[in-house]
Amino acid sequence: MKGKRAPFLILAGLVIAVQLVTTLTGTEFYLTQLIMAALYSIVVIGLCLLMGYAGQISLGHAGFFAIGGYTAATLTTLNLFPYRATFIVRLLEKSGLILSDTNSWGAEILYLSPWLSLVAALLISGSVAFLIGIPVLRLKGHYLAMATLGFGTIVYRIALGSAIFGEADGISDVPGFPLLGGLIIDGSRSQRVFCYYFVWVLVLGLLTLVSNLVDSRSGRALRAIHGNEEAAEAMGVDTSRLKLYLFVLSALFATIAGVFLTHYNGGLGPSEAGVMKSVRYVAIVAVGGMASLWGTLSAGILLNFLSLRGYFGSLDDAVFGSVLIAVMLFAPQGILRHFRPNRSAEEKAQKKKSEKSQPQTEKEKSHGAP
Amino acid sequence: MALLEVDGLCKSFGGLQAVNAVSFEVPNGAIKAVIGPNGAGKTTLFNLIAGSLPADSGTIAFDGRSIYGTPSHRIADLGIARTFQNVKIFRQMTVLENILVGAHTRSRGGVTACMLRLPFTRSEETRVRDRAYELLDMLDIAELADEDASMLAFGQQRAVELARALALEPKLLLLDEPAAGLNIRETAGLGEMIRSIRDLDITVLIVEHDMSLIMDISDEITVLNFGSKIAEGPPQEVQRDPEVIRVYLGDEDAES
Repeated sequence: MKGKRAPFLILAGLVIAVQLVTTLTGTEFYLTQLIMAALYSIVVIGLCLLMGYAGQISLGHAGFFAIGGYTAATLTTLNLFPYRATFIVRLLEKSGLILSDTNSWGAEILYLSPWLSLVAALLISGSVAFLIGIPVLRLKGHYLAMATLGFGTIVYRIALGSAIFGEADGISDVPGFPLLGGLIIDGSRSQRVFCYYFVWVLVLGLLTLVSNLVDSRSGRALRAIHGNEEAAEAMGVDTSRLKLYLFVLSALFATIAGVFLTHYNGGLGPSEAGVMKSVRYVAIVAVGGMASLWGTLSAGILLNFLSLRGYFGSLDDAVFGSVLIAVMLFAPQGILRHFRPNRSAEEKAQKKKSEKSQPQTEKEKSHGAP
Repeated sequence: MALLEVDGLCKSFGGLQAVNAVSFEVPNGAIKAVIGPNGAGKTTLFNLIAGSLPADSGTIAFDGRSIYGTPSHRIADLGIARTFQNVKIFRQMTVLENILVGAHTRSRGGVTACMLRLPFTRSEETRVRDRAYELLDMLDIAELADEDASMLAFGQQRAVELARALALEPKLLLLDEPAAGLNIRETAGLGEMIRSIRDLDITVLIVEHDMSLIMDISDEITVLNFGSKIAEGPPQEVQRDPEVIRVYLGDEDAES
C-alpha cells in the first residue's frame, strides 16, 4: 500500500517544486507548456489503459480529443443574443447556464456555459465511442488499428470540411472555463499558476482512478483479455462488454483533455484531429512501456513538453515517427523498463518479506524463549 | 437428474462431421471420461459444452437448464470451469493474478467501483486473495505466486490453469487432456488431484488420451470415434468392449 502511494507523493512534490522554482526564477512561462503537456497526458493515460493493459490499439484517439474540443468550442462561441426572447434561452439564463460578455465592438453576447458544453462533449463523444466501438472492437490487431485509423480520418475530414467548425482555420475566441470563485481556465497570465495546479490535480485524480483499476478485479479481467481472450471468456469475463466499456472510458479521457485544452488555448484547429496526433499518442504509450502508467505519464510529459517548446522544430511529426520505430526495434517493452531491471526482483523480495514476517516473528519468539 | 445432459449434439466443419449426434450424461459427483483416438471429436465436444463453439443442433442441459447457444462467459457464471488442451495462461500476469481472474464470477466489483475502490471491493479482494492462496497451497505452487505465469514450465502452467479453474468454484470441471505433456509420476499425482477435486463436490468431465489415468480414476467412460459414440459404461466394461478394442488396438491407423 505504502509503495503504491509513494509515486503519487513524489509527483505531487515535483509539481509544487517546479511551480516554486519557475516563479522564483521568473521563468513561469514554462508552466504554459507544462499545462498543455499535462492535458495531453490525460489522453495517453486513457490510451494506456486501453492499449497497454487491455491490448486493444486505437489509432483514432485524436478523433475523440477533437470531438471534445470542437463541441466545447462550437457551443461556447455560439452567440445566443439574437435568441434571447426564446423560452429555452430564458430558461437556461435563469438557471445560470448562460454567460454574457461583450465582444470587441462592445456589443453584448450571450453564450452557453462551458460546464454545459463539457457535459455535452462527454455525452457526444461517449455515444460516438459506444457506436463505433460495437462493430470495431470485434476486430483484433492490425484490423482494429486500421478501423480506428479510419474513424480518426473521418473526424479529421469533417473538422476540415465543415463551415461550422471553421474549416482549415478551426475555431478561435473560445471563452475561458469558469471554475469556482472567479478562477478561470484560460490562457491569461494571471490564471497561469491556478491552471497549472488545476490540470495537475486533474491528472493525479484520473491517474489514481486508473491505478486503482489496474490492480482490481476488473483491471485483472481487462489484462486477461490481453493475456488470452478465449481463456478470459472461459473464466466468465464478458470480454466484448468490458472492451466496449474501456473504449468509451478512454475516449472520455481524451474528450476531457480536448475540452480543457480548447478553453485554455482559446481555440483549436483541425490538426488536433489529425492522424499524426493519434500516432503520437500511440508512440508515447509505446515509449512508456505499454502497460505502465507511470512510464506513459513520464513519456507524455517529456515528449509533449519538448515538442510544445519547439525543440523538434518542423520535424515534430518526424521525431514521433522515429521514436515509434526506434521503440519497436530496440525496446518493445518500453524505454523506461531498462532503467529498472530489478523491479520484479525487488517486488518479490518485498512480498516475501511481508508474507514471512509473521512466522519469522514467531520463530524469533521461540528462539528467545529458551 | 444428471448434472450435465447432452442429447443429439452435432457439429460439422465444412464436410467434416466432427461431432455426430452424441448423447451422454454426467451424473452429479461423478468423474466421467470421454476417450477416443485422435480426431474423434473430443475437444470439439468440449468446446461445444463450454460455449466456445456454436453447435449445429442438439441439446445441452446443465443443472436442469438449457445452455445451448449460451455465450461462454455466461456458462462460466453458471458454474462450468474448464482447462485447455494447449494451456492458455494469461501472459504478463503473475500466477496469483491468473488465479484471481478465475474468481471473476465469484466477485462483483465493476470498472467504476474498482476505480473508486469502494469498500465492498476491498473486502471482496481480501476474500478472493485468501482463497487463491489456499488453491496455490492445494496445488503445491505457493512459492510461484509472484512469478510471471507465462515463464513457467509446462507442467507448472497446467497446475496454474487447474487452480484458476477451481477458483471459479465450479459445479462441473471440464479437463481437456490434463495429462498431455506430463511424465508418469506427474500423471499419477494428477490422478490423486482429480480425486481430491471430486471430494470437494465438484463433478469432473475429462477428455484424455492416457488410458492408465482414465481407467484408474473414472466412474464412467464414453468412447468416441469419428465423432460418434461407440461405447459407454464403467471402465472394466469399456475395456472389454470389442468395438473399443478394435478402434484402439486392432486398427493400425488408430493410436494405441
